[in-house]
Amino acid sequence: MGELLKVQNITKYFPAKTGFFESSGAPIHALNDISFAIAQGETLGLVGESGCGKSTLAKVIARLILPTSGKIFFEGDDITSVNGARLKKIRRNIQFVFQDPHASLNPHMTIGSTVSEPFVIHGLSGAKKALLEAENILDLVGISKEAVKRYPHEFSTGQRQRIAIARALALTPKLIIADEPIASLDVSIQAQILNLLKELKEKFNLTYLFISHDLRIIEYISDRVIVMYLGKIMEIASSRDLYKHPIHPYTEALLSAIPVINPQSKKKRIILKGEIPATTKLPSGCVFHTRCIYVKQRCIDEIPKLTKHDNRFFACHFPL
Amino acid sequence: MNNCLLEVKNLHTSFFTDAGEVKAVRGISFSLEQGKTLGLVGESGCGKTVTALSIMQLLPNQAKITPGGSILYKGKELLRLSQEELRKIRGREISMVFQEPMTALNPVFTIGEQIREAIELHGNLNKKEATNEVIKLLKDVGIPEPNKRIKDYPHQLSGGMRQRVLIAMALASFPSLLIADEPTTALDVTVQAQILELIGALQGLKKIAIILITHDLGVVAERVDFVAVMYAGVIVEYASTQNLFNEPLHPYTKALLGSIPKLEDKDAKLNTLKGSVPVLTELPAGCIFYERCKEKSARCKDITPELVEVKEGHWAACCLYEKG
Repeated sequence: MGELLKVQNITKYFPAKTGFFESSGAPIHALNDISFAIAQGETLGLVGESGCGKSTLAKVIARLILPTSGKIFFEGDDITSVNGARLKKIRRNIQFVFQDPHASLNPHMTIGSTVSEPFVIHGLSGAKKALLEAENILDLVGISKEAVKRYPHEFSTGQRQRIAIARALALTPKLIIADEPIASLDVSIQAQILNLLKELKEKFNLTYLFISHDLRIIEYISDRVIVMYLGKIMEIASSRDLYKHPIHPYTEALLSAIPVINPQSKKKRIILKGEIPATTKLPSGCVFHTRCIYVKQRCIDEIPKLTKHDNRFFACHFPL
Repeated sequence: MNNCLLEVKNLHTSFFTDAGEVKAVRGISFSLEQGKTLGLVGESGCGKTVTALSIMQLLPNQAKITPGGSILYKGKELLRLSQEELRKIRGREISMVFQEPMTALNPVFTIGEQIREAIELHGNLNKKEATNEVIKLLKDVGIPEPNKRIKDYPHQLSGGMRQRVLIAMALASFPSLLIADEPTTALDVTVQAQILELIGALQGLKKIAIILITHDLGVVAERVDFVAVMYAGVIVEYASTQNLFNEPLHPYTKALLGSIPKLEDKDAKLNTLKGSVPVLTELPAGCIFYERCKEKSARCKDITPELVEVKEGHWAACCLYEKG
């Protein structure tokens, strides 16, 4: 499998607010030195708690925001600062599915125009032919053809997310970034959308970057998983290895926190102490040391590097 | 049942809207013993929260509890109490913790003042004693440096800390029943684990009964003694947690369990439910789950199944188990 996307030492700082009520202070360290690659055809899961930088990373990759430093390569080309026609071409190949389909579909546009618009924007076909294309794609995601004349408010949340997926799929992109695509749905609808995403992946040989805070869903859908904490990568491993044997203490704690759907299981639970530190004031050394149950002096003094061992990456001085 | 704390019988609650009568809760019955935990599970719109609000009688104006039902608390009929009498029960005897801790707390008062208010309303402590009580409560719910924290405003606390404050407030008056409506839904997993652990520990300590409302079956499996599965305003299955997960009876419960990715077997396709929940203004005749059911037969279209005891303590409302 070839490499589809590679990010190298991506860092993103947001400047501190200097408004009337906000004292000017330290910038927010949203992403710190992130490097990884996505292989063609794989589903890479990105997991972590709120504020760990998952969505910022997704937006940087989709070129919706610019990184402070670092590089992004798509099919070997550096796309970190491309613009104009080249950026438009990248947009065609990297598409986004957002969390909330109530916000991501324009309420003033019919479903037909929303889904056919990409064809027109990229000059692939005229409005009439584009509408036919839209009907075909809607059919693929399980929405009937009559939908093209209707508006988003006439659909349920689950159906709207199908429409958002159809729109992302319209130009057969190579990479789809799905940022919490099922977080706002009920369990039974979540399962429908997960199955749909799996089906579409096989049909179109898609590559997914799938972001979720739900570890069960990440395991189900992903080939490999990245675990993030406070803007840093803690661990990268195949989903099978990660769930069977976490190497990073944060991954271990995260996995142990998942409620088990089996009342008999007496799982050992690691209850992390304290709270996630503020991103404006990162802890010294390993960012996880304030909550780690195995913390030693070295963790406080020295920042652990992301190291490779047996096809796995982890950033910890004392791996499990 | 002798030590029955709460008994709900045939509760109907409807919202009267411009679009017609929305029957949010349609005849549910259950009971809860002292010190036990009941989980109310189901998808959005199935009537979980309306059930809780009906017990507390905190329903919005356009909602009405249909006469004929009954909510017995310690043998007292809550539906016949005056506002004055209800106020003595609400907060003091029955407390509630809401999902979104930011909207449940008042942003312009310190958390200390808000918890003290709950203590002063229901007790007869002076200000100093009440403040000490607040500090003790905050310590109980695991807030570090409580004597400093009482001067904080809600926005200075994280989501997990705010939820701890709400729990402290709910416990301020030593209630016998705590209704927790999706208390961990807005929280991250590691914080969710902290809060669930806390609720469990406090329950052991103070012997309170809990109604835990959630859509997360994992939380149910870990924290509750009995489960009521709700669908479109009715209870479709009721059992002990063990029985429900070992041997789900109702097709809806089976589908719900099937639609969660299991941690071990990832290649399996998820068992999905087709379609979506029926609209509550235009309920179909017969079984409400008919449209989406995998085990339906012709008679399901005509018969509205009642909750029957299929095995000891295990109830289901489905034609598969109807007698005769």
